[in-house]
Amino acid sequence: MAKLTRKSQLEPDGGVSAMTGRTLLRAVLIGLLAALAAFVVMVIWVLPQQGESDDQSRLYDYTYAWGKSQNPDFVVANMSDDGYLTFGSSELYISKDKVKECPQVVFGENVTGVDMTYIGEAYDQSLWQVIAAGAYEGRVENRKIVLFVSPQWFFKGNGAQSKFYSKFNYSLYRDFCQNPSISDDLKDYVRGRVSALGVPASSVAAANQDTPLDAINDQLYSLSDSLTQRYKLINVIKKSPTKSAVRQAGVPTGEPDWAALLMQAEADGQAACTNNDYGIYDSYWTRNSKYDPEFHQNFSQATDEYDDFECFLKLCQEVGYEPLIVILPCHGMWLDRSQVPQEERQSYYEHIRGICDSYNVTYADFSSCEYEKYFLLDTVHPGWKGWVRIEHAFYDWANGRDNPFLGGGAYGTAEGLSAAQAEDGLPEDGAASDQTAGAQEATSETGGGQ
Amino acid sequence: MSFYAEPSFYVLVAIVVAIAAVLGLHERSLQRYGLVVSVIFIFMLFCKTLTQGLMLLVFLGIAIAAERWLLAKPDSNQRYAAALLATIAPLVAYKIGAVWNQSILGFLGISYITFKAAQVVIETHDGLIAKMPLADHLYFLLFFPTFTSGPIDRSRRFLQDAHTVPSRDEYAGMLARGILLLLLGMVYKFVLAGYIHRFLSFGVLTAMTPEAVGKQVLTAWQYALYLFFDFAGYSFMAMGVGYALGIRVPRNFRAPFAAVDIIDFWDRWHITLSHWLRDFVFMRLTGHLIKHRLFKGKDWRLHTAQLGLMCNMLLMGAWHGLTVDYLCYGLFHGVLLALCQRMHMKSKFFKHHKNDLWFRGLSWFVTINLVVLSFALFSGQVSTVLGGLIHG
Repeated sequence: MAKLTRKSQLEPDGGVSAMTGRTLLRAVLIGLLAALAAFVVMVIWVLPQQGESDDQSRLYDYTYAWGKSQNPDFVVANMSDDGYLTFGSSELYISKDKVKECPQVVFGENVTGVDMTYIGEAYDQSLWQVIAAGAYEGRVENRKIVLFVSPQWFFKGNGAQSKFYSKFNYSLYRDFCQNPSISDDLKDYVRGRVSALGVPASSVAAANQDTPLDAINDQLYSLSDSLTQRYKLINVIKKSPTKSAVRQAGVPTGEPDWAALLMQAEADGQAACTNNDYGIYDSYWTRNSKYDPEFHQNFSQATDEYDDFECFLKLCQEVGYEPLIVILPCHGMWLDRSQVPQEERQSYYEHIRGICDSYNVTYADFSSCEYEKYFLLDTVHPGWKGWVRIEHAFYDWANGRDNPFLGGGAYGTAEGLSAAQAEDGLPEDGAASDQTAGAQEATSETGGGQ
Repeated sequence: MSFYAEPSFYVLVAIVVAIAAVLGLHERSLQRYGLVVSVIFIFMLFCKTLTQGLMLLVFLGIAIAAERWLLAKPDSNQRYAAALLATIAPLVAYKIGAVWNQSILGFLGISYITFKAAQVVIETHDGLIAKMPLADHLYFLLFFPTFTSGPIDRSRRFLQDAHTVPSRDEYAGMLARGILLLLLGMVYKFVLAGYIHRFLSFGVLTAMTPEAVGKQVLTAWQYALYLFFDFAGYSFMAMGVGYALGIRVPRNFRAPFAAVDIIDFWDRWHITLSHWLRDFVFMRLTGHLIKHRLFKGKDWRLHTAQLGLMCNMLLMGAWHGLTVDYLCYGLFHGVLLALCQRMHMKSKFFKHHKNDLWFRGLSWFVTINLVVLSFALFSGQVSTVLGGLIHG
């Protein structure tokens, strides 16, 4: 061989490049085969699988980590037997290092018969939730689901819809499109919306398998996305907390002591909020109090978002979900400072309740808690008392009981905070309850609570 | 189907390359195969936009008819003018229509096919092309790897490759290089450009603080790198597929950010475009100016070259689109080239120091920053910032 090579190198013209050409091609093909082999090894042995996790000592329901929600196979295979699919956005990031009364502790570290299986991340608004709910449908027997609705989704310009493009996940959308329980009309609506919000036409066509070429694209997009999602699972598993001893034992711990939790929430809130009167935790206040992104906000320029929210309820109706819509409150004092009028806020709540009522859907309406100190953690997310009240309402709804915050559907009117405080049997904060009463009046004047 | 974007394209390209490899390694001609495959790919390109496909057919009808008509009497100046005008008319109509968001006669790839068709007409009049069989003409115009965005090949070079059947070993070398170019292009486009694009975000200049200005400078650099890796990546892939089909598609980029001056830059950036404009616009325009002695005095050569460069670059800007941003981009480069030309021809300081390391380093630094600034014009970043400052 060496002799041949030497001979060829002596040949005039093409001789040298001729041998070099074949040698180069062989080298390239060997390199390609080696790369293919490495890829196969990685896919089969290195990346975690999307189904049941090898590490069952961890609790995955309450994990908030990039890439978890986009993995329905993983979420469903590792969810609690008592889990309720709980769709939401940034409020789901609140873990026990910030609020000891959060669901991860109250439900996750006990055996109460209910769990919230979190799906969603920051900036996932109504349209994302429609797609996710459609993608998860058919994988879980429990038809009862929860959706946290944030007022910020309905701010001027449809909240953060401009971020939808970056939050879009191909596999979720594909599963949504290929769910036979969803009507073509609803799929057409969602297709129009995702296209309008900047998702490339090729992805949309692939997920819908418009042509044979799109079907090929679909297979390859799905493969690529599933590898990405499997890679992200490494972090998801790492971030998931280890199950508590109680949880590991699995012996029922019964209903949480809501009154005790509320007292603990009050104390924790007081301890965490020492540098302001807004009930906002100290470091957040120090960092953000000089900014006012809510200044002169309104809730009347978000037609698309209201339509998307209605689409979520329509989807529930079509596929047979029984949703609980958690209507989170604004921060009353903060929005007063931002000059967002009380009437504007009440009109927003009324609008959301109206949409729920038109679909005969149950909601947990916390709009009466706008002024309850320590209900929110910062200007947006539920905090110490907020989580206790949300968990209590969720627990009652899951067990078919009434609760002062439950309304719509079979529950009729939500009584709100005053009734809840009467049930709590705890001393009321004077200033907070005065303002709460004001808010309640405004609610009844605008026909709220229905 | 979008070329070089959707995964199905790469699946089909892999099949096309595999069949081409079998043919090529058996020393069979790839021309007929390449033409059939190109027609199929272009059908798939326009299968969802049939109007555009129809416009392509109209264009092909015009370009082929014009070339045949000119070939019958290539010396005729009237025929030449009419044939050239007819060939570039659809592109001009499309560019003018785009100003009012109207797509007149437009289709994906019109800009690049026009360059190729015009080159055939010009060189036919020059007497360099004596015959253009229909299959050759169609193959050159429709060659799918370079159809949408170049590199802009030349017909005589292209057809020489198409008509040659390389030896098995020579083809093996081309195929190996083609595969490597394709893979390199994918890394450039999908890994590097894709990574930079994630951080790319244009915004108005909120305040004249060092941080805000620094952010704008960073954005301009990010965009320049994104543009390079995206376009060079695409160009490498087009070269790669071309090589696998036995066509040595010309190189479009040669380390452009290593350019030591702006003339050097245009020998490294979008080379096939700049060389096309050099050969068919600049050379002919300056020849015309010299012939008619537009400039007199001792600097007539310099002034002629400067006017030629300005026109050349303004045309390049207009070719990108008749918008303020693109025209300013072209004008900016025209001015820079004219100044650089003056430095080359007149500056004793330059002649004395041009090989000094410090001078080359300084010249490189100034050049790269001017280039990045020009891309900020191209991307609309400069007009966005200026608009923000003016309107508050």
